[in-house]
Amino acid sequence: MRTTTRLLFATLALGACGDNLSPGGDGDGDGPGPAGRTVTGSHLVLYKLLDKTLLDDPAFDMSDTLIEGHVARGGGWDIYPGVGHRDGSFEIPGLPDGPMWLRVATRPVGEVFYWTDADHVDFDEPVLGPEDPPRSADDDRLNLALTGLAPWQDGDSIAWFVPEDIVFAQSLVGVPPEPGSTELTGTSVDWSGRPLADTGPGEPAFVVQYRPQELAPGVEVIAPIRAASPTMHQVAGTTGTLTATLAAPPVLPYRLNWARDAFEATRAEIHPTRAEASSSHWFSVVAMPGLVDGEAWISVDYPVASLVDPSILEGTTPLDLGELAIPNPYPRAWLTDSYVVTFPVSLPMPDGSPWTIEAAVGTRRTEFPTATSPAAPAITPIRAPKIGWRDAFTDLDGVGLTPVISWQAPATGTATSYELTIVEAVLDPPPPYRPGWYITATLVVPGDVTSLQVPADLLVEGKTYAMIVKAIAQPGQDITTRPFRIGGVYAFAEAVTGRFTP
Amino acid sequence: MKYLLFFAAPIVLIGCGESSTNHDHRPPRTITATDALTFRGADGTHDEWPIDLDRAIVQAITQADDGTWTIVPGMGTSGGVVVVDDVPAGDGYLRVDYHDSSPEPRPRNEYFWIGSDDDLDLDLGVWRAGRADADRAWTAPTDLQLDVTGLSPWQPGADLAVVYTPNLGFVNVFQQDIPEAVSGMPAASAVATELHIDWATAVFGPLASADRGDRSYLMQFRFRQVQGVIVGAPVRAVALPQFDQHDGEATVVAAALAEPAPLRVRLAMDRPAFDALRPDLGRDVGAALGRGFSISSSPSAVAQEFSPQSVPAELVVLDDGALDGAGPADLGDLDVASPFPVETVYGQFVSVYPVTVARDDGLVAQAQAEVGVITNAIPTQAAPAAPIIGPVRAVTVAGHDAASAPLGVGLTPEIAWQPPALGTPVEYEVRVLAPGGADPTYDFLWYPAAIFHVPGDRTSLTLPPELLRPDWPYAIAIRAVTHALPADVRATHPRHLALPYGWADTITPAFKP
Repeated sequence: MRTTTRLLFATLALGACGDNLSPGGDGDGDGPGPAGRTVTGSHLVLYKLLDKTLLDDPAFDMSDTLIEGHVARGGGWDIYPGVGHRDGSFEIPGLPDGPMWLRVATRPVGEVFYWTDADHVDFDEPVLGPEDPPRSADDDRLNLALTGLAPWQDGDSIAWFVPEDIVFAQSLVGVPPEPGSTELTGTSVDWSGRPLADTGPGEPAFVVQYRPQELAPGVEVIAPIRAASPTMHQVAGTTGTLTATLAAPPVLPYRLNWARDAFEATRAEIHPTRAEASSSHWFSVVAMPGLVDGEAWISVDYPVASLVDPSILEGTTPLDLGELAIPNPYPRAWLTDSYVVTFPVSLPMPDGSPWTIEAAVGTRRTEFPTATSPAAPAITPIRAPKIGWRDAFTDLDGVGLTPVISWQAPATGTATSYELTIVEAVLDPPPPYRPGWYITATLVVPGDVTSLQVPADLLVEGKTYAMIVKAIAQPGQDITTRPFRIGGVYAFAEAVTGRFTP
Repeated sequence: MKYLLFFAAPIVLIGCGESSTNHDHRPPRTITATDALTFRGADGTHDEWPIDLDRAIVQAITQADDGTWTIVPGMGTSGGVVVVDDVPAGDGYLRVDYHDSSPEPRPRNEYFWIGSDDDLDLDLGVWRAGRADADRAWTAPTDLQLDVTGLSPWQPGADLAVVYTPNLGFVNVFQQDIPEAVSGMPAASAVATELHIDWATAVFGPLASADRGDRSYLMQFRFRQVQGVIVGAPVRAVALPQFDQHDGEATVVAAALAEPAPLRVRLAMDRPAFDALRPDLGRDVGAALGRGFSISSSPSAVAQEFSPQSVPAELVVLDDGALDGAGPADLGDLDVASPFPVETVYGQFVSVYPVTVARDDGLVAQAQAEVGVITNAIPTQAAPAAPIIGPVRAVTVAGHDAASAPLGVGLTPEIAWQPPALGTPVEYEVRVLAPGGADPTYDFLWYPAAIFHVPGDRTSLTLPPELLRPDWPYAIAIRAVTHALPADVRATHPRHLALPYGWADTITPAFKP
């Protein structure tokens, strides 16, 4: 164990919520800390089927990842070195009870500090499907025998998805059929080295004909128009045949009703003076096959609805495009929608040269808008950020090397975590990099923490920093024990501080 | 900056599959180390540039008598300090896995010997002669005017003007006029000239300061044919009077070249002595693919301490391929107009051999095994350049002949060898070569995944856990090293050396755990 001897530069008025500040002490930092617990952790990649059958769990090699525990004591930090292993495990022995910064610095890049009091921290990542699926041989082909298509039009495409086999072909057909044709037969596509489909009855597999369609007056959407769920047993070294008769899928009524004004209203909370009017709006409906019991496994999303002309989303007033009748072949439990609004934030470099970074407010949901309940921010940015006792929205000098940062919880929504990304202004980076704001480290704290002390060794005298504070609302999230687990329902809102120097 | 105050930290024992047992009751110890590049100025200043170890992986790794491994985590700081507390007494290694986000396949994971029962403080740093705080010329023109006399009649195309300022780590070569940068290069047969060099435009050079002990040298360097080989060496030289340069200002210096007392060099290499070592360089080794022969001057005396990081002045260079072939090579004596003290002069001689190391995926790499020497003993007719140490012999991996490319040697095999037949090694550098390509950091067939610094009185090394991966192929490259630094200094300064310094490589075929 090692300790820092820096004292807090001031006594601070803390927010009403939790904090990560030192419990006190004499500050001399020269007494033995209590030797006690060992914090352990793991980082496995969990390859699973949809029924949660574990296919494989290879380790993320932690042997060259820097692991440390930083424990606040006496106004400074005691630092406890840990050991990471090839099998994905790590441990930090000799820690006192209580919370700490768990520093995880991966290579070649990555510097994240998690505020945790857990005895075991699980960085495991669930992934849908096998790590290395069976693949076809060189020169294998896939014959298509598809009938029941909607009469073919320009702009149509055919997709072939088998989530548990990692088959993902969003544009299967290179040479389209004749306009008006309802069949796609007698043609084949090169399948060399691609994953093999092996699906039986009832297993998820989708052949989907996509088409730009006017699903509400004046609203053109790329969406499925015909679909089927075929079975197929594809064998390496042979030519497989994808046989299916497509039909119109059930209709998903979807109200594209967006409270753009509510998103725009967060602008002053992103930064009261430097955030400009929103610059882009993003909307989509996708099927997430890896959305299992509310948890988003790593997988590929399948498009359900995306606008042909996204520019119709731009604006700052309420937007109700009416009810879209979206043909949808995917299970309802897989469906999510996303709304994200981006705001430019002016953050000049220390030499005065202009620079703009982007902050965003967004939400991903499984419950969709209605005529009376438009999509609105599930969480808004933090409020009143401070570095020490000073307003962090202003430019600040002399904040110290391990300042205390505090804020008020968002006005809307309940944060389950905060991510504070410290960025450094780099005017003369080595080639080939260009001047700009570069990430120094990210501090991750639970949602009930609204003040923290920056760990030792992050900030450097003479450099200029800023911070992007992301408030996150994710039901079930617990960054103290499972920081990598992501929910299907997820909302975030960013705020950007002014520039500061230690 | 992490502040290092000592605590009664707990012992951390991490067994390899079983709990650790340390039965001998010797008290644990503390291993500390520092790592920095130190600039040693001519005026006696030492300027330390710490190596940032904040993101380095630091561990002490020991193995008890019963074979149990203990890995004790330590910590590095941005100030170049390493501390590992509560390290079990006895033999072991300090692992410093340097953080390196660049894609270059350079060694980054080094293991230093810490065999002792006592606390140990290692200096992992290196040094170079000169100072690092010189101002540079930004404003054009910053003219350096050299009033040159005493030239040997100038031979355009064969002659170069070399300006060397060792305390600034600066050397530059001028061959012809360059508009707005260099003017006054001597005309054919000229014996004098007024040479102007714009220190800002031509070289963006460091500015000399007499107060800081900066000395500059001017050499007329000439390439000529010697027995059909092109050889370069100075024919006139002078140590310039000390001067000061200031950005944007002109400086005038008299440069009266002369023929100093000649340094006589025998351009002779005992190639058979190098080639005789070839059978022990590897199983699949070819004939020498290149040889090097050079004479240089270091900024400081080389017999007590030698810094490969210092910027030297070249005194003798040979054309590429001049020493290709086999059998004794002797081009005769060459008198060199060296302006440098003889105690700063050294020679570097090396033969390079290709060693084929195949991977189990069919990819074949040509590694290079070297036999080399850096010595302050300048070759003579009776003593041409020759190796002073040979490669290790009879390498085994977990008891198997390494040449048999054994399989199933386990994840912590013992690597053993016989000492070289020639020379007395003071250290073995054992490199564990891992296949590139499977590691996203690298894209080379083999790269050194680890380097162990093994004392010269040991002839084996058991690889610790967490290094080899199951099913991966590995090869071992062992470099036998000898040099003249006293043993007690070597023990705590593993990266320092003194001349004569010799090395010889052995590279095994691939094996698998």
